[in-house]
Amino acid sequence: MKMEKTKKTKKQSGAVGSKWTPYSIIVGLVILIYCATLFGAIAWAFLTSLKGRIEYIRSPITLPKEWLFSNYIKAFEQLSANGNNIFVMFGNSLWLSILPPTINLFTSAMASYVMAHYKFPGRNLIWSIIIFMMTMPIMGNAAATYKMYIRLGMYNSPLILLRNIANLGGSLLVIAAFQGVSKTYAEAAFLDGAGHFTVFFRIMLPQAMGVLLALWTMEFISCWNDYMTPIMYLPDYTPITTGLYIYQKETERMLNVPILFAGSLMVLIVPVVMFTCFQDKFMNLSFGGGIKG
Amino acid sequence: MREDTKNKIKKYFERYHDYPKPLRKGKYVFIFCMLILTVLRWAIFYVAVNIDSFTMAFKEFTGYGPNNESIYQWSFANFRLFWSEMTYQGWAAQSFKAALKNTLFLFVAGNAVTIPTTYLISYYLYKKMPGTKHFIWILYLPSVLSSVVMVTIFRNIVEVNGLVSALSIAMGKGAVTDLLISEKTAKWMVWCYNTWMGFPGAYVLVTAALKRIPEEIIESAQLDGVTPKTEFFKILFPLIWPTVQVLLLQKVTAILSADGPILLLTGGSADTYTIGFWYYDQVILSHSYEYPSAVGLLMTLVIAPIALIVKKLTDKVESY
Repeated sequence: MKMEKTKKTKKQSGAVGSKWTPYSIIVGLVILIYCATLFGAIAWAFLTSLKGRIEYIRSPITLPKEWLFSNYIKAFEQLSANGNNIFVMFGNSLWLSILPPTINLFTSAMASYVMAHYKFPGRNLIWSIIIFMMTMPIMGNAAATYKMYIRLGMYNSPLILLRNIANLGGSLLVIAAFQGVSKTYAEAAFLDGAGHFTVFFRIMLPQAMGVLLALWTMEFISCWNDYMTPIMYLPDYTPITTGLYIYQKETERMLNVPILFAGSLMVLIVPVVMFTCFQDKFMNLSFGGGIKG
Repeated sequence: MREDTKNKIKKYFERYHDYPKPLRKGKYVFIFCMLILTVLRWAIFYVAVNIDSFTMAFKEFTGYGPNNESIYQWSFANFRLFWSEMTYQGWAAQSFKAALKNTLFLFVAGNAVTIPTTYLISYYLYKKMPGTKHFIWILYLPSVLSSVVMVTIFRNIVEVNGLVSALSIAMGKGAVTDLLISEKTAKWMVWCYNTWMGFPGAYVLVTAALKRIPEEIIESAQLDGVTPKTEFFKILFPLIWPTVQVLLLQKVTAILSADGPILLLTGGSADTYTIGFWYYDQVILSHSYEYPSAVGLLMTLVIAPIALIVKKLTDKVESY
């Protein structure tokens, strides 16, 4: 009886109503067509990646005469940009995807924890600044930002990672995650003689780790796909995404599209695998969070 | 007098006593250590950068000094240049005017598709209609896939020797000229790509908001024989208004940054300059800093009040 009651309260809103209506058929078809274009394009790119260069130029729509899986090995040998081979570019992609979210979320967790669980002078001011920055768009400071990076020696240097330190007060999502952790855990640890740092690192941080890991994965994917930051600020540290763009510019008319596609599809593997592995966490964070209303 | 001040300070800090006495001493050191990095980051990359951006807007480069250093003078030259560019009767494809026109086109044409699809898809997923379980994560994919890869695929589909052209030849209609080179079609190709990748819109936020609506409200409405149209517009939409409000605000503040991957798609050719690309061209390629800062200041002066008005208006709708 009790179980039944719990089940009823957990039933999500919207799960009522007839399934097959003109609306559901039309919108369902539209979504299906959209999915077909998405997967169709990727499938076409995959089939193209198995063709020879001339074969692709002659006929981009036919199936490959001979399935040249060797193109994937050739991609490793031939793809290069700014003098960097594919291994160097994948290496750059790795540190440019792992370190920024780690720095961002660690500093964000530090600040957000304090914002969520401590009272101190200036806290309200920080809140007001966070709200101001969210609602008041300040545009066109790209030039000043670029100059600042040059002045601080961050341009074309791994020091560019300093820009990934979280903004004032951390992030609203992380603050909400810490607010969701009961203060009684911390109080019990304080009674046992733990200090503020011990409580944060040993008790509160592990409790918020689920949300932090989901956010880390999302940021990792976003950094992996980022091509603009390296183009603008890290010309000597070309990651694979930027490398693909530069390779196309460098080869121009001699571009080997099947090899390019082979390299491109390899770039897709990392984010897609990560998304597939953590999709539940992604969905919980996305559909469970958001704006109240 | 001193005692009085001490007491006042003591009283002031008393309101922040949220921990037992032995922990109070270390508390402020702890808070300082935890916040200092984010405060510094904010001070350097927000406050200092924006102050610098503001002052640069009023500077004019006048030449080089004896030690080869750049010399500037305070002036309104950047604003005058902006005014002359905006009132110029001819047409320059790489001007801010052209960038503004193209950005507004992409904003309006893009949202004309993504705003309706956001709500149509969200309602579909909320109602758990056929395929929801799979669609919910497939529709998330565009935000996971790399722009460089998807643009590479898209370019090779629409380029002169690409898939579209090959299909057209196969159907006996002849080759399709490069859709990304012609000024007539390139902008629409950018729109096509943006729509393709942005089709589901903010469906995650809207569906999440719909899912938080108590089921009893919907059940009682259905008992009263409500139609799906009335259910959505008269019941669900007002209940998710705070989410809609935030999305509207996001849209307004992003009016001038609606561009898409211009660098990858067209490299700014064929009349596809957008504001984002114009900034890239000015700052990174041309190393011009003062004029873009002045334009940025003007854009802020236009967008900030609009954002505030939209917020006020949407607040009014909510209270109404």
